[in-house]
Amino acid sequence: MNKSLIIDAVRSPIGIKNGDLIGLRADDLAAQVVKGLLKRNPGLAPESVEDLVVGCAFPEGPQGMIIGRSVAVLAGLPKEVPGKVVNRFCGSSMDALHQLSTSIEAGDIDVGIAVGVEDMFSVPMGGFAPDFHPELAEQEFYIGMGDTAENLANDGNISREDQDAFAIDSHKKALKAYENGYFDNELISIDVYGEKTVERDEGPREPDVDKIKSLNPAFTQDGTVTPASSSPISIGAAAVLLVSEQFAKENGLTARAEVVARAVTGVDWTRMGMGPIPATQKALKKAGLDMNDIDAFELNEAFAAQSLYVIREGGFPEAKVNLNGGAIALGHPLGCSGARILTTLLNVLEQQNAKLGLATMCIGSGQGIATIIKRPS
Amino acid sequence: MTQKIEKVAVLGAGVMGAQLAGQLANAGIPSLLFDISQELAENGVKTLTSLKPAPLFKPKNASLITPCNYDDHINKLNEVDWVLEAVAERLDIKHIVYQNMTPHLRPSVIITSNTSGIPLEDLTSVLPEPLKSRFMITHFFNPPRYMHLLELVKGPDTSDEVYNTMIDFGENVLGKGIVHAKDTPNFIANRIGVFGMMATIQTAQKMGLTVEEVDKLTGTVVGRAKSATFRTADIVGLDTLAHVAQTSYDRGENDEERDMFKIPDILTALIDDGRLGQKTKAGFYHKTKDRKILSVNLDSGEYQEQKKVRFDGFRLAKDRQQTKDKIAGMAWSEDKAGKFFWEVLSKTLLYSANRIPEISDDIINVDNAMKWGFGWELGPFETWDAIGVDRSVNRMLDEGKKVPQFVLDMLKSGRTSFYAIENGNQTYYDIPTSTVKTEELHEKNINLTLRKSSGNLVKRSWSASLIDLGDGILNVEFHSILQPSLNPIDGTIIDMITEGLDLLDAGKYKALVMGHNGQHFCAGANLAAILSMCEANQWDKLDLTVKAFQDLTQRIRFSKAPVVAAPFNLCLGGGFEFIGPAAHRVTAAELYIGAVEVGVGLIPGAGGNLRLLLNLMENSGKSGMINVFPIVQKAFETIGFAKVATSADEAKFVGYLLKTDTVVMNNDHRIWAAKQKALELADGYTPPEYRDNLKLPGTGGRIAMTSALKGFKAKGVISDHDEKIGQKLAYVLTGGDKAGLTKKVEEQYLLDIEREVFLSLAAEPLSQDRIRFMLKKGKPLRN
Repeated sequence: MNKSLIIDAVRSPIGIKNGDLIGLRADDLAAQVVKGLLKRNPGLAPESVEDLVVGCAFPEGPQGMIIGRSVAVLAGLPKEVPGKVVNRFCGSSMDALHQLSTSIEAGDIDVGIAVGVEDMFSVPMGGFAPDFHPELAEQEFYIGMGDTAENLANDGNISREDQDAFAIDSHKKALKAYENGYFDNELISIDVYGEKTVERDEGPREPDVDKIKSLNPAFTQDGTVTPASSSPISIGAAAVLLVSEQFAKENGLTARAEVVARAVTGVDWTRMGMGPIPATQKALKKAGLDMNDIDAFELNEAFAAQSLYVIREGGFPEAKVNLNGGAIALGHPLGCSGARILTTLLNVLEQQNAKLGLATMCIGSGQGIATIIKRPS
Repeated sequence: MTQKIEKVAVLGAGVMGAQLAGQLANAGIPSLLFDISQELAENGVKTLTSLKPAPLFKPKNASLITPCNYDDHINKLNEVDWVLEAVAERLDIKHIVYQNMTPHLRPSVIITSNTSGIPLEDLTSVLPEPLKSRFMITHFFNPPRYMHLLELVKGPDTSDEVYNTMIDFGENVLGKGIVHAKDTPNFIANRIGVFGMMATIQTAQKMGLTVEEVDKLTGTVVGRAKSATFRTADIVGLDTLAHVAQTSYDRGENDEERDMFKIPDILTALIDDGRLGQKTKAGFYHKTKDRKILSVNLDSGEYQEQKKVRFDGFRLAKDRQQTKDKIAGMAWSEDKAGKFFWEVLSKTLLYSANRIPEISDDIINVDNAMKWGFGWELGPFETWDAIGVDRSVNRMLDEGKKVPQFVLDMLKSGRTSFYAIENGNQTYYDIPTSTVKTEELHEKNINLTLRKSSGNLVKRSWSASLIDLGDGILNVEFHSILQPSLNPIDGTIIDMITEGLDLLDAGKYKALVMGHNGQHFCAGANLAAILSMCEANQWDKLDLTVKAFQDLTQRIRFSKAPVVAAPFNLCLGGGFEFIGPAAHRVTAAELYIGAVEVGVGLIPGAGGNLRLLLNLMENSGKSGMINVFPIVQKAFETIGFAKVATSADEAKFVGYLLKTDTVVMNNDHRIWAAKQKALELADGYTPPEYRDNLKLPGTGGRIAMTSALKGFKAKGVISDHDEKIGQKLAYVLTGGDKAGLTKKVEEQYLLDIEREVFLSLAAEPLSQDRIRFMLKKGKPLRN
């Protein structure tokens, strides 16, 4: 069996409400990221790309009409490069990477680009014309994401104070990472139709502790989850270049990491935030590893309550989780986040001079997804 | 001849200057708003989105105002057609501003001052000779969006072109009511209004009435503003009030009542104490930390708890329907309330009469000034007519009061009222000539009362009439017998509209205008009648009533000849359902419109749901054939939260109006404009097509839409009963059981399920509680 290797990964800054990225089409945004990735890797001939897979949670409107193919065209790839869309809600682009790495390992293809993109400002969560099944509604299948976080906060007795502290920490870590230049190698600047250039994530800011503590609950009257301890609505894109070991050798490409294990699982959708626990266990088991073997974790921070639940109940070593901050500070553009946290994980491993990394995320509808990567020795 | 005004500079970004720029923006006119620093100018623009009541029709209008400062931008003054000065009321400051601006003006510019008291000739002394002909006073009232009055004053040099331009622009573009004033202290409204306030304070002290008693007796019960006397003073600012009074005193050497403008001790004491009214949170009233409102003792200046006000005269007046009867009731009541009211009123009437021709040549301008600038329902001379001129003059003479000779002459000539309607014309007694003259109405000012009296009444019923507007246009006027100001819908209103449509069908008229000159277009259904049917379990009767109302709205929609609705002010619930199906709406800019049924535990029952959907589809350019979920969602939120749009502009955005509907700035021109529109439409009119092809989201969409309700309930935003109403509302808006992505429904189906839901909600005890509460307290019950 072939090995699938990650040659490189980049991402756009993540934009938030009233920010400068709003107004940029998702397909244009993703195409800029793919172009940036190709530019950084001149050793790769564009015509050698055999598939471009875009993960997107709500592929309609400007994200519709098979955005996988349209991004390939907009990025200037030859007509012969195919493209498709993957939808696994928040796990969409991590799944895109899974699919490509599987194809490479199976020997179907040698080169693929996994992309994630979401513009939550132009396509609302739920899409433009939601149409719910009565029976599923009865089973609370369409439960609000905030409510699932409240459920976990209850189940795990996760206090408001702990959630606020976690959120504050996320911002502090992200700001610190900026100070250390830790995002320099993963970010590419984005041009907004010649009017503005966006070079930095818009979310992270010096936390206003008093304000964070004074916020009202966002979802239930006596709840604990607030806007500050939830990931913000956002826009962003990320792209990962994958090749087979053989191809890398023949073309003189240096791998930054190898994909070691992939896993997806289902959980109770009213507690969708716990998805990372079984997904991580499954991935570790497949790779023949245990929690202690992993040097760094990226856990997508949909909510502080959800993240704390996973860390505590799943036995994650908190000191190794999200060293450069997470989605609460940076933002969580749904379909983009899988490729985004893998990109960040790659850089964290390099910054820590560490070897094994695991990225995992929860998925609305009650699922978890995880990926283990390993840097070459 | 009039000039075009396309761009304006407003000098002074204080509360008044900023709001004037705001009203210009409401009329679509861009302006430069100047102040001494950029920061002050920018703050002026900012206040427009925070001030209450809102100066702007919609916040976006602020983008038409460019903040400027004199140092950096004074040369921009050459871009403007009109410079409107609204800087501090100090001659030295105004002179500096005038001198600075002069070199930068176009020769064709018009310059006006918004001064409320500085004589025109003092203002113009620093202007170069050619500019004096371009100068006049335009005195707006605060808040300028809401106060209809614009007093115009010209000087000896003011050109006719300048004066006429301001009349035209003020009336047609800014929507103001023009009053021609003279260059006399405080012009008309403030001169008489402040006299009235001073006389009220003095009389109250003499008779030992409390602040709250006075406000009860001088407020809505006699057709004055709800804030009456002392509350108004607090809102205006006691310093401002004193300033205006002082001006009248200082410049009133020949005023027989000059001493009345001497600032009373209590007012001086409050001002010296820094108690200036609302802006200092203490004045004649004071709101304590525990939200209790105390009133000042007029003798001691100390705050005290308000006493319950009880007067027989007040009760008697309050129970009458018409304002003129209420005023007469108070004036002739023999208790303390009546005596107090008579004393103040008689002084004010005599003072007003003595001001002619000093401040105005005729009684009409005086009456208009008080109605439009002080919110009096009847001006002083109309009030005098209301209490009976003959009888009141006798009482004045008995009491040793000096009655002006012309009033006695008028009575002697056999004329017993200042105004009369004769042969369809409004006549008035012209004081300078001692003759009866006919009021010349503006061609755009259609007065339905006059039309009725001149033989154009087609049919009259209790709460509505059909009136011939001429040129083949029929008008249906509402004049509710139950509540004349609010015009709730009753059977006779329904009957009159029906008969109007019959006349259209019979080819007797080309078009029907639905509008009137009252206070509010229509505040909705007759809730009392609905509740009584509910309480008597008369469900079949309620069903028939609702069905009849629905059928009427559809008949309006599909009438072969066009119906043009002319709403204004309040247009709620059923009011919206009346105007919605018309071929076109000509609305006043001041429109407070909403489908507010949820507030009383119901949903719109006469086609309001269908209407909002169709409006939103049309406004968004969608035919309802493709994805309409966002439209249905918007309708759901609008009706679900009982949203009221607070201007015609906002109503277009919310969907209560079509974007193509006509908005008139001047409410006095509304019926005329509606008639013009009706004439235009009548030629080759084809009614809209019946929609049997509406694509609505159906069950799946409904479940998606209502999933948000659970969240709102969890957050404590809505109650269980709200959720129930929301579920039922969503059922109607998403097309019940028959709609879906691959299905089509027709208008009648939507009306049928709307009626079914309306009835089921009317049967809910919690909804009935809401109706009862609304009828009793006039505000919605949260349950």
